[in-house]
Amino acid sequence: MDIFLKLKNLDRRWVYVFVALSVILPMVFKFELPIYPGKAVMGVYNTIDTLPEGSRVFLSFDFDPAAESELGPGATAIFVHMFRRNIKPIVGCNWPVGNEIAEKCLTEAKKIHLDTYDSYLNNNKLVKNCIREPKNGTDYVILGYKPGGIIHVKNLCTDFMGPYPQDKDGTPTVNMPIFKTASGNRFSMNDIALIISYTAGTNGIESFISVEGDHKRPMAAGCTSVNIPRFTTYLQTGQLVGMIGGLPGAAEYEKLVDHKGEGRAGMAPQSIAHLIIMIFIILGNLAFIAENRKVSKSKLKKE
Amino acid sequence: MATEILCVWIGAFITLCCFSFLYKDNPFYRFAESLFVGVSAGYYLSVVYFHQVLKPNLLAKLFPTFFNVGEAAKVAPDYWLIIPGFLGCLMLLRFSQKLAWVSRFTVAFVMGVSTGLTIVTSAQQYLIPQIAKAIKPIFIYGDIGQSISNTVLVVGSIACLFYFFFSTEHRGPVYGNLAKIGIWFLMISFGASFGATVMGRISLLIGRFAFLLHDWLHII
Repeated sequence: MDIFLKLKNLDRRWVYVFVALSVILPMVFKFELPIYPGKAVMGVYNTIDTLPEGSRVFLSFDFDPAAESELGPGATAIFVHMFRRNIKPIVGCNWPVGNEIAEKCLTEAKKIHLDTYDSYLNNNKLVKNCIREPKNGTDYVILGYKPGGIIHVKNLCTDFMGPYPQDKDGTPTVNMPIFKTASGNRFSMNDIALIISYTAGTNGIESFISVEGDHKRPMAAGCTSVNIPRFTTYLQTGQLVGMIGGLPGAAEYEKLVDHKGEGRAGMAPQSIAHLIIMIFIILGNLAFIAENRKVSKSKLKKE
Repeated sequence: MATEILCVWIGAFITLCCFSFLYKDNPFYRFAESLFVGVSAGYYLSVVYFHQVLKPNLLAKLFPTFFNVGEAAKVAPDYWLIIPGFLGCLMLLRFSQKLAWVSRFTVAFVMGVSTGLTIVTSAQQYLIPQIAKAIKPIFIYGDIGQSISNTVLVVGSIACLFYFFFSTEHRGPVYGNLAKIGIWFLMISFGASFGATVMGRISLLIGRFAFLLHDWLHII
């Protein structure tokens, strides 16, 4: 029992060293663990996979660099999937720095798509009209940040050109082929096949859920791990068709699109670090029990 | 290329400065902290609030010839925007002790709109769907798994609601026991939240180590 009492007084910096090693070593030795896509991630994948070619999907980058390592890999994997299915991403941001992260993910996804295009074409894994090098304004567009949260999303339900007369680089959106409608009406949420929000906090997917009655579009979320319990309730009610939760969600999506990215590379360190933390929690509790017993024994002796 | 290398080295130095706090508080950590606060404030004020918010949403629409170029400069000014612009200017009066009360008009407007929107959407999109999905049959013939799942959902929802019912003391066979069960369900949900938070923080740590080992040291 004394060993547990000694552990209770262990310098917390030893815990940091163990956690750091549990992350570094699997990364250095390229240790891999199997990944099995879950129901929530499959929901997003299957929805995108069954959309008709040429569908337009609204992706809202509602996070900042602090959440990039969690949400960035999933966003990149979804872009790759969309390009392979000839689905056109329209990117907006409810968070100011979402712009830059969206551009980074898009550039990476275009590179992955280009690198794998020929092998996928030869194996008949691409849709008929899949485009080798997607073009800005035709096959995708980044519209940029707009303040307002719910009010901004409510505006998009009736008209995209009003809040976004230009894209993030200042190019007028009115003549962009990606915003052409068959009826000739103004482009609005009615022309969007799916809404996906990558959410790190407020003004994310909940802004879209709030005005669900106005847009009536299917929705999916990419969220940080902290938000998984909160957003699971929307999965259960059917308000979300799927969810990519944190880095594990990104790893599952990468597995589905057959890409070894940061998500899959991060799963071994993630699992080992969790194991180390669990061991420390158990040891801490054993030390707590041992201390309580010692105190109660000493009380009995005094009596 | 040289700029890229410099950026990686600066990033690595700042990351190590932040990590150094785990050992103990030190000037390197405080330098990184102050730098972050300063850069964020400057970035938000200039890039975000002026160039991404004020300029495209107000100034470029009120004074297109001054703030736009090309075709966009020929667009007629939208004078309706004088009203929100004026309300925004009123907020600046908070800096004056005598006239600070005037800014309350703007605050009242924003609160009114936000509250109106939130009450309706909260009921329609959050409360009602959650209640509707909590109404489930607790026994499904031939599907024991789903029956158990539904029972847990229904009992958990009712027990947690009882725990937050403070008009009666949590005692007695009904209130007391249901409130206790509610506590158990709440504890399990807090445990799930804690686990998810740990997972998130480890993901962030992985991101930083990936940067240090891949982009900076080229080990992996």
